[in-house]
This record gives sequence, C-alpha cells and structure tokens, in this order.
Amino acid sequence: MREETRGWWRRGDARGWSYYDQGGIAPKTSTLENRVRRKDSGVEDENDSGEAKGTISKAMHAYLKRAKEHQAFIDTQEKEFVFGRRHLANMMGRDVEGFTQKDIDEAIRYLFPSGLYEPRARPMMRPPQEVYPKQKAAQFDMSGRPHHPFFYTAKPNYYYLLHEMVTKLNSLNKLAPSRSTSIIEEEEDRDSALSGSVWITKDELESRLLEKITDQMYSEWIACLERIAVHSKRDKELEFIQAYRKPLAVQTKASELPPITLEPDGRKSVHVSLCMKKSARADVLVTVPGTGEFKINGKGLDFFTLMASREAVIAPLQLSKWLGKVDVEANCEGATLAQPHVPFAGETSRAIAIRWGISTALAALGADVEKLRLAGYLVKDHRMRERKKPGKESARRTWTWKKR
Amino acid sequence: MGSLRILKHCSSFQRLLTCSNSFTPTPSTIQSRRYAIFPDSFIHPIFREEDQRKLIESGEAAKYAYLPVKPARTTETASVFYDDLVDKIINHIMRMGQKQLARNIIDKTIQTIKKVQLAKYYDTQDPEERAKIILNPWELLHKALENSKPFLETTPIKRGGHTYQVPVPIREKKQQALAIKWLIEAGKEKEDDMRFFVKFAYEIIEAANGTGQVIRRKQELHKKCEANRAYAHYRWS
Repeated sequence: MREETRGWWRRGDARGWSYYDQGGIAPKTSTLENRVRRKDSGVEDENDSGEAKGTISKAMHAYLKRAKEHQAFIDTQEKEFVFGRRHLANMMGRDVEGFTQKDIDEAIRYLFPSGLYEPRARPMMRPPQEVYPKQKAAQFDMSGRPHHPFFYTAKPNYYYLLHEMVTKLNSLNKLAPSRSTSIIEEEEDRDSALSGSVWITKDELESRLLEKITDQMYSEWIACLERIAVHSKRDKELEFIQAYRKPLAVQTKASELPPITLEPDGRKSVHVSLCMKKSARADVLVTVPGTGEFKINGKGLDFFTLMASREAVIAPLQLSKWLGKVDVEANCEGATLAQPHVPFAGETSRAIAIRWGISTALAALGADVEKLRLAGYLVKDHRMRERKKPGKESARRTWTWKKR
Repeated sequence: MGSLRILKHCSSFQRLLTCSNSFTPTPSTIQSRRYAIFPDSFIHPIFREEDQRKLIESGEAAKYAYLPVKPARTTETASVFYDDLVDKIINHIMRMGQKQLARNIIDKTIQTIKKVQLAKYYDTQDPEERAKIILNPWELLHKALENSKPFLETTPIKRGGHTYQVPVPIREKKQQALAIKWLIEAGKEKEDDMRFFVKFAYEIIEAANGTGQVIRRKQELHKKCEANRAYAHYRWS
C-alpha cells in the first residue's frame, strides 16, 4: 500500500489541468484524453470504448492499468471506511446515519487515546479520498505524444511558470528599455505595493504546481519574481505578483486582552490573573485613574531590593507615559500549587512576571498596544532553565578531558 | 476497521517520514541556532522611547507591525539611566553571573569619575579651562571608549613556511570589545590597597583625555601594523 502513494504521476489533485487553462499556451486537449480521464465513479474501461488496442501507445496502456488499479484500491478502502464507521457508531451507541466525520474524530480520540506530541502521528480515520493523494490525469495522448510543450523538462508546470514570468519581464522591459529606468531604486517605493505580505513558501508552490522542486529551483523562482516586483512598470503585472504573495498577520491582537471591570468607586480596573516567568507566578491588578501607588505583596516598590527589578517593573508605565496615573497591586510567589517542591523563584523572575502583567493590563486599559509590543513587554518569556545532561558538568559544560 | 489500521500505520507515519508538505523546512525557516526558543524571525525589542519615535517618524513602524518581537531582557527598560554601552561594560566586568556586583562596580566607577572631575573643576580658577572639563561621567565614558578603539590589528598568516603578522582592519563590534577589554585590564593592574573601581575610573578619565595606558596600547598596536605594512598584501594574495 505504500507503493500506492509513490511516483510522480500520483501526486496532484483535482485541479490537475487547471494550470493549462490559465496559461498562454493551451495544449490541445484531445478527445481521447477526455475518455481516459478518470470519472468520479472510476476509470472508463478502454475496451468498452471500442478503441483498437494496437493504436494505444505503451505509455497510455501502462497509465490505464495504473489508474484502474488505483481506483480498485480506493474502492476497497472506501468500503472499509464505511464499514469501520458503522462499527464505530455502534460502539459509541450512536445512529449510523448521522455519524459525521466530527463524531468519528471524537470516537477515535476516546477509543485510542494517544500521548504523541505531533497531531498527525496520532491515530485517525478519514475518507480515503482525503488520505491518499489524487492522481494526475494522463500527460500524453493515445499515441504517446505529450500534451504539454515542456513535458520533457520533467517539471513542466514549474518551467512553464518560469517561461511565463520571463515573457512578462521581457514585455515590461520593452516599455522601459534602459536598466536605469526599469528598476525602482527607492526602497520605500519598492515596498509600497508588497508590504504586509511575503512570497508563498516552497511547499505552497509545490502544492500549486503539483510538482516537487528543489531549494535551488525555489530560490531561482523567487529571484525572477523579485525582478518583476522591482520593475518600474510592475503595475501591469501586479495581479500576477499578488497571486504568489501571502498576507502577514498583524501582530498586535487586541482581542486577546483581559476584560475591564468597573470598580464600586467608579474607577476602571484590569486584573491579570496568571503572569509567569520561570517558576515565578504573579497576579496584577491595575486601577485607573490612580496616584501611582505600588503595592507588591503588601509592600511598595521597595519590595524589590535590586534596582534592575524596580526599573523593569515600572518600564511599561514609563514607556506608555502612565507612570503616576495608575495604581498597581501585585502578588507574586515562587511556585504554583502543582509544584510544591519548587518553592523558589528569583527576584528578577518575579519582576518580569509582574512587568508582563502590568503591560497586559495597560494594553487592555487603552495604552498604545503597538508601542508595548515593540518594546517586547507583551510577549510571555517562556524560556526555562535548561536541564543538566548526563555526562556533562551542567547543561552544556563538559568536564576537563585529558587523553592521558 | 481495516481502514483505520492502515491509516494509523501507513499514511500518517509514512507522511512524517517522507517529509511531505509543511514538514519540509524551507530555506527561510531553517534555524541557525539549534536550541533557541525564539526563532530568527523574531526581532529584538525596540524598547527605547526615542528609537520608537524615530521608527514612527521614518514610517518604518508600519513594516514592524507584522514582525513578532522577542521579550525584552530585564535590563532593557525605558529608564533614563539605561545606556547601551554601560550595559555592555557590565557584562564584560561580570564574572560567574554576579550581575548585581558588576552593576555596583560600575555605579561606584561613575561616582568616582564624577568626584574626580568635580575636584578638578573646583581646583581650576580659569573659566576657559573650567569649561573644558567634562562633568558628565557617562559622556566621559563614551569619549574614553571612542578614544580607545583600535582600527587595525595583526593576524598571523602562513605563507611559504613563514608566519607573517599581517595587518587587517577591525570591525566596529570587535573594536568596541577590545576597547572595553583593555580598559578593564588596565583597571586590574593596580596596587593591592587600591580598589578596582578607582583605578578603572582613572583609566577612563585618562583615556578620555587621550593619554594613559590604554591609549598607549592602542598606539603600539597601530605601530606594529605600520611596521608590518609590507605584508598587507598577504591578506588577499
């Protein structure tokens, strides 16, 4: 069954021919090919179509055989899947008719609990059409002649795309012949159309082309795209470029901030319950408007003996210019209830935990979120102490070694 | 249930092994540091208010909106006392992770510089001379570092069985590292009854004036490079 997923001709999906449809050069689609192409129900038996066997090329003959085998394989898998789903539904005491894929996933999670980290390594049950890659339709006609003009490059879709891009570049160069006028020099102007997005990754390109490409081929493709992207007449091909750009997510996420509560005295406050750094845990309550009062474990800012820690705690307030305008109440302790054997957390860790709590609260209360984020105060520092390794003096350090 | 078994053993594992689609690391996602928690795509935090203002004024801030940021370190604050160079020197002075001790030493050094400069200021009567004395210890520190930076060093290169000391230019980062190292080493060469921060403060003041041990060391290195200038072409031939 492993064999089934191997081989270039098996990679691809239902859009197997879509690339030709867009392309400038549309390879002739023969009537024979339509006959050969796989239908939903299965491969058409070419004996039924009345085609004389002698006129079919060996390649086509082999393809038809493979396609038929694959369809037979998928059919048995489909049968087993339906059978398995019925069993699962019975086991879970559910109605077979209304047993959806979601129910299957739940049942599998219940019956085959897995502690594996990688979700894709855990047991699953899905329709075979989703699991096994779909076949590419035949690339050649009955006489064995390929449809695609670039068939013999072995990566026809990739090289066709490159060809198309160079054609576009040449036509742009005709509009702005000299090199000095054809390239946008200013970096700002270059970025104007492309900011907030990146080129699609190699994997995404592969899935679009239905072909495996090397890193070298990918970087060549990017280089070619970038030449179009910095061309002074690129506006004509902007749509083409944008098709290969992927928008980046804006990093500031206001939706993940804690809610604001209205105090009885009319003030607004935000409570950040779990602030963490290493084994330090803290909860922070920021109230606005305030007088700049600090209350950390019942003490003032002098709860921290180190100046560095004090500076770290007030840093978000200084940056957002809210120092003296809010009241901060914080409680910090060493370990969680789940780790009673870890009593200690350093002072700096506590300060950083509180810093994160204060900045999150400030962001929720309406301070400039982007400013705090850029300063690195809104990221949870989830680095931990690296464990000691056997055969080493500490995490990385080795003992002095002498040969003799 | 045959289908389930096949899917469990064949498809998911095989796809893991053959590294399909999103599992293949693309050139941009390969990490250079193996154990780093935050990948290279995370930028270093911009925590100084003036740096942020510059970004906003130049319009670059829009570009940064898409970049994830690493958490700021403890010392990286918007405090008026924060200084990049002082932070670096603290790390150079620090031994065995005793950061607070290193910080205290630097604080005392700054205090000593201030005291010495103030004493000098009150000793001189001439207003013109007085104006020349730098009273800001941080300014003096920056000036001392700038004066102590070497531009050339020699590196041993083997040609025809002989090892030649070939002069090569030094990059900005190494220049600063060497200057800090020399200043600290000069501070450590002292009498037993003298404290490090006192000697260090005097070295800084002397370097800022263009005299002293560190400046001499820099000039000696430059002189050595000058003497070996005939071998300079060994850098590339």
